[in-house]
Amino acid sequence: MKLGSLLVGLVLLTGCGGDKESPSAPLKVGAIFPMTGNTATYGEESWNGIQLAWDDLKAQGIHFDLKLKDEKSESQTANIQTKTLIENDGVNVILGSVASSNTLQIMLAAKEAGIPVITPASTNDTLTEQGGPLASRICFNDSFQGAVLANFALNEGWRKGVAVVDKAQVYSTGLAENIRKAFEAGGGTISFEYYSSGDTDFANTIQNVANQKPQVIFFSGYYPEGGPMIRQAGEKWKGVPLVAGDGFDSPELPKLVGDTSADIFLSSHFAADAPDPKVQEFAKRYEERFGQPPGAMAGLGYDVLLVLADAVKRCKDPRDPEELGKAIAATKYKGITGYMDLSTPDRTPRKDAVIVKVEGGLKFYRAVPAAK
Amino acid sequence: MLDYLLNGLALGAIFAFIALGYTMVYGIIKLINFAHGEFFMFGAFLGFFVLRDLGVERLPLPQPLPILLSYVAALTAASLGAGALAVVTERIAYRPVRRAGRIAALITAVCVSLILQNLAIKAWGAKPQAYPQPREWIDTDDLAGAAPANLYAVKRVETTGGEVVENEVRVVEAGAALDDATRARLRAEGHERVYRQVPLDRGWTRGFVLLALLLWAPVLWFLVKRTRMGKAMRAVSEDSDAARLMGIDINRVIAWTFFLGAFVAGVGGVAYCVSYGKVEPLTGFLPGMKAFIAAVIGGIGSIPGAILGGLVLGTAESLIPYALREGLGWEAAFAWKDAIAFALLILILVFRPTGILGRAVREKV
Repeated sequence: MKLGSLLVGLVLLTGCGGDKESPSAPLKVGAIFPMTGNTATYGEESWNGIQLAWDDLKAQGIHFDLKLKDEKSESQTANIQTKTLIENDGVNVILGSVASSNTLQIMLAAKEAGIPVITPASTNDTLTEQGGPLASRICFNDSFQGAVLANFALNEGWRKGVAVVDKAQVYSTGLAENIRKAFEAGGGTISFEYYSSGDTDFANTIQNVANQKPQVIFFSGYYPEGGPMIRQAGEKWKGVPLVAGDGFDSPELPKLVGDTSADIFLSSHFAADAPDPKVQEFAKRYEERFGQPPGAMAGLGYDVLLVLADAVKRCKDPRDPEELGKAIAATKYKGITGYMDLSTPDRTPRKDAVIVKVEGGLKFYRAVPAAK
Repeated sequence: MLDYLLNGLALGAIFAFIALGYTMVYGIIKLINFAHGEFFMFGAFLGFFVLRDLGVERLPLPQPLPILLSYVAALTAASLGAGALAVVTERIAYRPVRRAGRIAALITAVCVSLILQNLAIKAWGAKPQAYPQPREWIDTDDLAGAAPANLYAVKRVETTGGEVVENEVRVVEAGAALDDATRARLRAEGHERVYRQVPLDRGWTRGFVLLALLLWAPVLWFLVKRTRMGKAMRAVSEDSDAARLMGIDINRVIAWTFFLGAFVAGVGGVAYCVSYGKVEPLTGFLPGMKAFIAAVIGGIGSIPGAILGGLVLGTAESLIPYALREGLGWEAAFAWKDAIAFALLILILVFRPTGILGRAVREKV
């Protein structure tokens, strides 16, 4: 009984403390990324980008109280970490994550608590709709990305495709559906082959794809499976170009693929060696600090904190989740990954994409303009 | 059809490799050693470090000897290392609970498995890493003519935080001219030596696994059936108290059993990661599970049973989805191969609880 009342007292005390927090104290920002597990390079890159942006903001006198949580590349953990950040740390806004399945869990948990979420990199179409009005993103979505990939293949004259799809990821199945729609609309024929994230032996998937003698192989999934799959395929897929989504954009991909003569293209948000001088300057700084050229997740991580800072500037009281959410949804900001106008019905910018080619590293190939 | 059969056999051979260790340990102390998959992973990591860092492939010998030797070194390190880990694990974790009943031992095994996984995450990071491709090193001064393949070098970058990061960079494209200008450029960039990656043919790695299995199985069988140590193992398996009364050093026999099982798993770990291209702390988990199933299907405790079980499981995982797809037109059948494997386990347990080659043992009352 005594213990109980003591606890209630404590909760009240901390609750009061929260209310009285001075408005000049930095805004509490939660970040949830896969720092370990299968897709850990996504988390590392995103967080590196956020740190660079944080330094830049600090130089301008803008402070955020950043709290990073690891979702371990697991959607259940993403859900738990969201609740921890909201209930224990009392964050005002959450940034994260990368894989759409995991971001969905963050958005659903944050929706319940009424906390705004911005995802830097999750592209699944229905995310922002399921996440409610306080959920937004700064990247394009998969109906755009699917069309980019399909049209790229069609323009090269490849009409018969097979899509390799990870059946355990919403990103993967959603993107594959979008590729199919656009590819068939453009006169191509396509069939699907499935695998599951976590698989290591792809011999049969490779065989199934090869048996259909496609002109192009679409890959809708993430690099930890895609890279080894291409390496294992070796001769079996010889001469067939591969076209993948942004799930391939990781510095680890070229290493996993190994030395290959295959032509691998992927659509992404950003390329470190793109001609834009602003991008080049960012890439140079990033490489000096972290020893590696930045991938798309680094660029998006950098932009997402700057987008947040821009929205906070436009708020009278950024601690009011409604107001902050509205300010984010009214964002019009030019970052290093392109122009981001979030005032669309689905709070998803219509951004440019880039096609990147894998040649011992990720190399800029061409830019694809945004959808109207 | 033939392709799918071969795919299945290749995968099954790996399962069989791991299943051997399960079955030997179970045969002797009736312990299901769930940490066995972690011995496999540990071997795979040791092989990874030997291949990446030891530099055996830089030995000044004619090709392909250095590459071959680097694999021999990796396999040796992996098998001995995994064996040693197994002996240490047995001494620290299993021996104290050996007399505490099978449930206690089983729970200990699950815990050891989780502890080893987490130690590996702590030590080597949780992200998957590309398994090193064999490299053929070439002195920059010896480069001439046209590049036969893409040439790579290691670029070391010191970050502003003082950390040194090593990146693999492609320095020359295949077919580019290797003239004075290129050599000067490479030297200016600090690359005294460059390398080409030698992709391993899938046929070779598979052939290696099958061959190793074919060679190892009789050796193991011989060790167990024809040597003094093997005789001691069988005696401990039959009645450990009576064996001790006959003067058999039970602890030594059990340690040997763990060592042999893990030794084989270490070889399997390197072979697995070389064929599938990556390694991570969870590498041992699913193959370990599958190998356990293979051991049960074959009849746990039986060495031929483990091999048969592995091959049956691998083939079933490959051919059943193939049949479902070709016969019933179920397009996504291959995505359900794990479910199919586990269903097979249940079916076999229902109709043949002791496995294909297992013997029913009557409980003495």
